[in-house]
Amino acid sequence: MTIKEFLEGLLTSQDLSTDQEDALAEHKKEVTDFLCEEFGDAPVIKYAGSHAKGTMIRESYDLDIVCYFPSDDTRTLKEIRDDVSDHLSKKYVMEDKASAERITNLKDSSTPHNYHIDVVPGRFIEDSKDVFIHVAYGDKERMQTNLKTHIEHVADSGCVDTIRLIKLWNCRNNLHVKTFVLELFVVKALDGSSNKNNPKAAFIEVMEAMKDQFGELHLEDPANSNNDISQLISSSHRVMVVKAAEEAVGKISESDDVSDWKRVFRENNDEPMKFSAPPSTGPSVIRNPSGQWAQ
Amino acid sequence: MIFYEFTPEEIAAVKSRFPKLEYLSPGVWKGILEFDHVYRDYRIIDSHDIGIGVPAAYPNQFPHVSELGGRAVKAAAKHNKNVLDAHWSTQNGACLCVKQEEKIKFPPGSDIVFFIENLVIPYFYGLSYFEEHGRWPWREYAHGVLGILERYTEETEPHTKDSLELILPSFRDNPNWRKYRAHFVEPKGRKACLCDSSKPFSECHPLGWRGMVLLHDDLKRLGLNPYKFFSKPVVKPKK
Repeated sequence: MTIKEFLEGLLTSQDLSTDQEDALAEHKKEVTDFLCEEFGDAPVIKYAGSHAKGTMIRESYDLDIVCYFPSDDTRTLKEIRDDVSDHLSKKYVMEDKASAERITNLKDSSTPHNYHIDVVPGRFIEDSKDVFIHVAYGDKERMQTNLKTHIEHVADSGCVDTIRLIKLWNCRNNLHVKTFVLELFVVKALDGSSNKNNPKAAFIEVMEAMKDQFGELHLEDPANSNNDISQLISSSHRVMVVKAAEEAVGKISESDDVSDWKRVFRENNDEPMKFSAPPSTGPSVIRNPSGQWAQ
Repeated sequence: MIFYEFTPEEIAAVKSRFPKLEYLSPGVWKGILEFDHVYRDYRIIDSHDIGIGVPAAYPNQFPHVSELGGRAVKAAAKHNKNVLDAHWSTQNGACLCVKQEEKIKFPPGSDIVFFIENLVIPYFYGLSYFEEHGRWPWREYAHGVLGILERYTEETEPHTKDSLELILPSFRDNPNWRKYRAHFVEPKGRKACLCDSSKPFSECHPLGWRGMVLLHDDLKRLGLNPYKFFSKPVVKPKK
């Protein structure tokens, strides 16, 4: 097996099965209908994220759905988000993220239903396709952005396959870097590169960039240069990613041995497509922390 | 201070989960707390030099948690902030949660590993975040008793005399206790705020003000006389 064949095999193995696609579509319809029960046809509800950009991978996927209310909605962004969250909480087990409400399961269900759905509430800006979304984290409380610009920036970049490989590497190495950060990083790293159609060379080029640049990461939101996306990654997390990239580069940059590539993707050399043990169990989640106080 | 003596089983449980913490003497843990945690997709991998002093009254009294590496002070200085903004003070150590949440966050029957995982690690995650960004990653209450008043607005269960007894001593111990007492007798939002700014209370700390009004109403409902709780300390005549 050549390295090219190995990488192509990896990509194919990461396509969602028909059953998974159907389950996602069914869940999306269910969530959309449930939101419409409460909010009528006022909000625009549609696919966003990796599903819309074509960068989804089977081993780790979430379905992002945006729920954008019209510009004349008089509620604050926080009120919009709280209303969406309160309504979804009647039926689903929820977890709040920086700018999304994550559906993890059906309420009162003892079995997991693999929802993988993040709902991103927002409000359109008058006479524009731009939106404001509420951000419960970081410098600002709201962020102006544009879904269509995001989708086009990634989907039309010519880097979709490389993004999927980097996402898989991120997943299998338990790095937990946000997908949007990886997408922007890959597009930036391969900007103007002649390697885009060469998965092996493109992957190495991105790894080299990650090793050299991720520590001092600076990424702008393509829809709004005032949004500093790099703020989404802590300095300690960057160090961890740089180390993982260094390790990967050390193994594959001058290697034509497919087993080195398998190690980078944490596959068992004797049994292709099965994983070796992940490097760590990954981070623990802090849920519902105490409001901090000082005596 | 008398410390709580951990059993060998409790010590082993802490050591297995946090191998770099040493049990120095009865009730005293010291060492490196390592963590790899994520909150709202923001991952921090870090370690802090800490100490935990566990009083004899544990688990009815909260352990005292210290940051020993000087990072809380340095982080505050880096961002030109008061060290209290790092929710840390020399006297009280790390403020893990507001008074009213102590029983919720550390319910009876919980062990020291639960305490470290659910209160100590989130605090140090917050401190690492503060070090980098100059602000806390999640909501904060005002410092001191104003924070207790802010938290008071979130209570869902009606207060009882017993539950008020748990928080009223904090007001009694406050240097401004006379001003608080005046508000407990008759809240006045236009009076200067109790944070010592010259702004009206209701505008300077609106949530604290709302808590004050609610607390006043509860004192009235429960027939508790503020003067009884906040009477002038009796000065013993000198012999």
